[in-house]
Amino acid sequence: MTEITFDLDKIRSDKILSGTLYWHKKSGTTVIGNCGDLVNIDLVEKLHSGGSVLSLESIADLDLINKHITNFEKLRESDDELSRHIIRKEVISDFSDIFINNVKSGSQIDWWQICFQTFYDLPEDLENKIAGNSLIIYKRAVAVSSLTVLMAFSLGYLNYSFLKDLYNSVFITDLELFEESNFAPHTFRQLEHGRVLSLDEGIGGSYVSKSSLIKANLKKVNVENEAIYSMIRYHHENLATGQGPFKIYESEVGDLPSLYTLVQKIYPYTEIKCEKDDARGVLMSFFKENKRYIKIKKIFEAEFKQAA
Amino acid sequence: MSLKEKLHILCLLSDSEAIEPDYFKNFFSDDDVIEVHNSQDKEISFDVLITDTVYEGDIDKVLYISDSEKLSPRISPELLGHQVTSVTLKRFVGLDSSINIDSLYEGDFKNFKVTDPFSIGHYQDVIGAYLYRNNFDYKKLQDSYQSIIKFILNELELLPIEVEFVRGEDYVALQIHSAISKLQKTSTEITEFISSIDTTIVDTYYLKSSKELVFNVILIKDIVGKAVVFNDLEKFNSVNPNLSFYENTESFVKVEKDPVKFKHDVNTKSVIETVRKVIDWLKDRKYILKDSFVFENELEKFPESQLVKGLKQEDLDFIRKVISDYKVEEAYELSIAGASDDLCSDQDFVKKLGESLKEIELYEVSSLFENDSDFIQVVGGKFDEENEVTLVKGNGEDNVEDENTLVKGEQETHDDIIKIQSTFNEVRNDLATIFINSIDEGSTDLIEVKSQLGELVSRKLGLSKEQNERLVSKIVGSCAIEKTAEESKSSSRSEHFTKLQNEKLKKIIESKDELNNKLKVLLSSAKEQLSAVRETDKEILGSPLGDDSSAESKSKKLEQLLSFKNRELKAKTITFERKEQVFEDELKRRDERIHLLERKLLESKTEKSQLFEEVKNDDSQLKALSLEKDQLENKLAHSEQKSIELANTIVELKRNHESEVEDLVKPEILNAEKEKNNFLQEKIKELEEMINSKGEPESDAANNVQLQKALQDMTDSHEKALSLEAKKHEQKMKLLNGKVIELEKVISKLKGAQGGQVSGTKLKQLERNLDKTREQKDKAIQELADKKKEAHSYKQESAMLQNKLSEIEKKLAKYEKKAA
Repeated sequence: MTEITFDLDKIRSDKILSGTLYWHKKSGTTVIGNCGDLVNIDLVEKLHSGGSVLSLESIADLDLINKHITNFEKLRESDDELSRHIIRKEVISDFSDIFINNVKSGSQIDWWQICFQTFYDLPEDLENKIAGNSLIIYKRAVAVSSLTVLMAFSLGYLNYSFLKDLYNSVFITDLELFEESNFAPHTFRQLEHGRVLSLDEGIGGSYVSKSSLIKANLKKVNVENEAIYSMIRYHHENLATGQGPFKIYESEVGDLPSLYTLVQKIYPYTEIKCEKDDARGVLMSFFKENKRYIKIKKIFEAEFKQAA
Repeated sequence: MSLKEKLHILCLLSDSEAIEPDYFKNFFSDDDVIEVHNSQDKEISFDVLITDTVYEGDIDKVLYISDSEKLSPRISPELLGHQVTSVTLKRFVGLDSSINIDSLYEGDFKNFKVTDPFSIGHYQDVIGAYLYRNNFDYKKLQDSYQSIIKFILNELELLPIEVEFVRGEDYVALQIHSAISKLQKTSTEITEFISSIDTTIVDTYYLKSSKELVFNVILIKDIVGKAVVFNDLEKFNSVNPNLSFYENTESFVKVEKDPVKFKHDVNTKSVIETVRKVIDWLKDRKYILKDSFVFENELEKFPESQLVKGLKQEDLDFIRKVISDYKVEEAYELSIAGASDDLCSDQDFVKKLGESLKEIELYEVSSLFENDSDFIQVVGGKFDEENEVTLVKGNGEDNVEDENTLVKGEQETHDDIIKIQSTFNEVRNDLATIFINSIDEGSTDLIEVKSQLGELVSRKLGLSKEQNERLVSKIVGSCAIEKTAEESKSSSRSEHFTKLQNEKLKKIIESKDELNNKLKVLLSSAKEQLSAVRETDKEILGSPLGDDSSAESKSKKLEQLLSFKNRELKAKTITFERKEQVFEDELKRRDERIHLLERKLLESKTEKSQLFEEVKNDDSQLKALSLEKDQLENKLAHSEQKSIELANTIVELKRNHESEVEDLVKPEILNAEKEKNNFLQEKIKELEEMINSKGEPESDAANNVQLQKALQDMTDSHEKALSLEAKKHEQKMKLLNGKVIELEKVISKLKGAQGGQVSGTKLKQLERNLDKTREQKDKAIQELADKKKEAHSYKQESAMLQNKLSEIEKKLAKYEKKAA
């Protein structure tokens, strides 16, 4: 169902690509952007105005995206919890069928677009800071923020503004690492090691020492929320062993930090390659592989276990 | 405090029946890290003190086992031993615990999040409906939920709030918690707040490691004692203390409001009527069973068991009293009789009686018989007669082939009852109709009406006189109760039985008296103790120092006195120190507050000055902006002018161009050339003809020479003119090109100068014009090429013609030679 089109206005407003962006030259075709990438709009506009032929091979499901963007718009307007519950059911039934129940095909880019178009609201300097340092981190932030918000919504965090705050806060999570230097390859390796096994003491220590910056960073996206602060603070914790930077266990935190460390564990610190149908069963397979996060797992299973 | 070290608990409990002396030793016996001591030991520094009297000493962590509201943190002795309390107790002394209550308590787990300040009520309803459905005191927990959420939201200003609850068999544990990086409340303030919450256990703690403030509100059925605990905890060290629990549960479900059919005042009527039904049933059973009557057994057999389940314990107690205590029974009967007497004051009491008759249940009649088969035989038989329907029954000997054949036995009797039910309903309704019709509507004589009713019932159902009277009294009683219930719908059920409950009240008063007596005894013993202490004091002080007592005894006494006074002094010092501490704390808090206020003031001041500066900045910015605006406006005017100029240039260019094109396409030139060609062709023809005729060559030759010259001249000049023309065109094209380039440059310059915005539309227009010029240029080039082609073809043609001409000339020369 790949669709090949080129709509400059849509690309400009989407900001992240729904598929591979090609430049057709006489000498051959060059890829100038992958699915899920933050688009280099200056380049695209320059090429386009220069008369170059560009095409976007989208793998996104536009109907699904529009359906849930509309749902979130309704959520923003709703003023009673009952209607929020109804919207939650609508969104979550698709989300869980794809991510958990593994009964419906779907791609992550759809949900990235839904959340990005709905919640993304970074000031330009922050966006430049992250994207300028590492496009890999930017793409990972798109992935992590989306899944965190969707799972939080599933767990019952229904207020629109809170979800928006959550999205943007998660997006700038690694901001404290950018304060001094660019994101060096060895930092990636350390973080990846921390994700899979345990975080290096050095970087763990720097998380602790830099955690004082978190509140200031959150203020940059206009977030002042204790729960979000605590969630960001503990996002590199190893809740299963209590061996993270702050030595926190699962029995000490609420659902938000627990949920966030879970999502952090899903996405590696490498370039994420988007493919059609890559969202299918993502959470279920993670739950199966991972012995921890039992509470969240059970909450999800109990509500969404239809296929099992 | 690491868990590797041992925790030492000092347990100082006065002798009382409420707590076993070794209760805590046994309770903590499974935990290796805990050691419980029953007496002071100077070698050990105790971590926790568990006691039941006021303690003012060095141990920081004190837990009172008491019902006194003045002590906190406290746990009522009544609560010890309940599994839910042990969670609180273990957590309090410092054992590992968890914020995930689903791993602490067993039962149905539910959770939700409050993320919107306007969704609190929604979830309050959700909790209420859920608890109501599960027969809990939903009001208490709803209130607790509300006050804690309010406290977190309004006093601490935290959102979102996580809410989770586990419903066990006889308890509901509700946990409300939120992350808070700095707790602004003192433990005194929090204790004060949680003491106001009306529930069994309020167990609150602040977990320092993850900065979570956690409220646990637990309601246990049928327990009066309370526990109020607030505690600062360092951290928990486990992942999940009770993993196996998860594997069996299926109940992790998001909370949505349970569909509940809530009946509010309907109950006032039906409960009393139910109580009457149960009492009458039990009385019938007692009458029949005599000594073998057992209350519980017969209550269980009551046909509408769901009605009994809906009764509260106090209703059941009341029923039991009526059945077992003849005095209470008498009171009950009297109150029913009184209500019955009042019945006839009602205008349409006959109709009401009829309605009550209609509502008499089958079992209310069947209970008058020793067993159901008798009832079926007697009453069922009557039905047959009345309705002339033959019910197949009996011992089945004659109807072996009939599937409905009844062989006597309980199951069959039961089936029979069901069969008879519909017939009974019909008969009952008929009875009611007959009854209402047969009696004058205005009749007010209860005795008369009662006897008529009895007669009718006995005739139709064939009951014995005794049974008849019982049934009639049931009907009248039911009617009377419904009437009183209806008259006072708003009042509670208990009020209806106020008269009847005198007995119950008396009992309560008695028990209270007992309590009072106990208290009196306690008080007097305390008084005694006090006076004893005073006595010794006096004794020591007042005993004369001289005379009969020796110096030794004197000094002993003095020593005694000294140590006594010392102890007193110590105690007082401790009290004083404590008070001082409290005072200091208070002072500190005030200082902090003042600091905070000062800081806030300073902040607001700087904010203000910042604002001023901002305003100033804004002013200068405004000026800069207006300047910029002016500049822009100038630029705009300029560019507009330029664009007008450009437009003019374009128009001119266009005009020039058009004229050129027109020049090019001038038909005269073409025609002239064509004519010339025609002429040449004609000439050639002529010459050829001449050659062919071969006649008069001399004159022809001369002619020819002339002709040749003329021809030569003509082609030459023609060629020249053509090439000149082409050159002219090329030059013009070059000029045009140059102009176009110039134009483009001007436009791009303009674009740059104005940021491509100010007169975008104008520029666009210009661009469009330029495009048009370009098109025209292209067209002109095309035309030029065409013309060139044409010129070329002409050239070729003329060359060909010249060739022919030279050929002809040669031929002519030959002829001339020949001729010569």
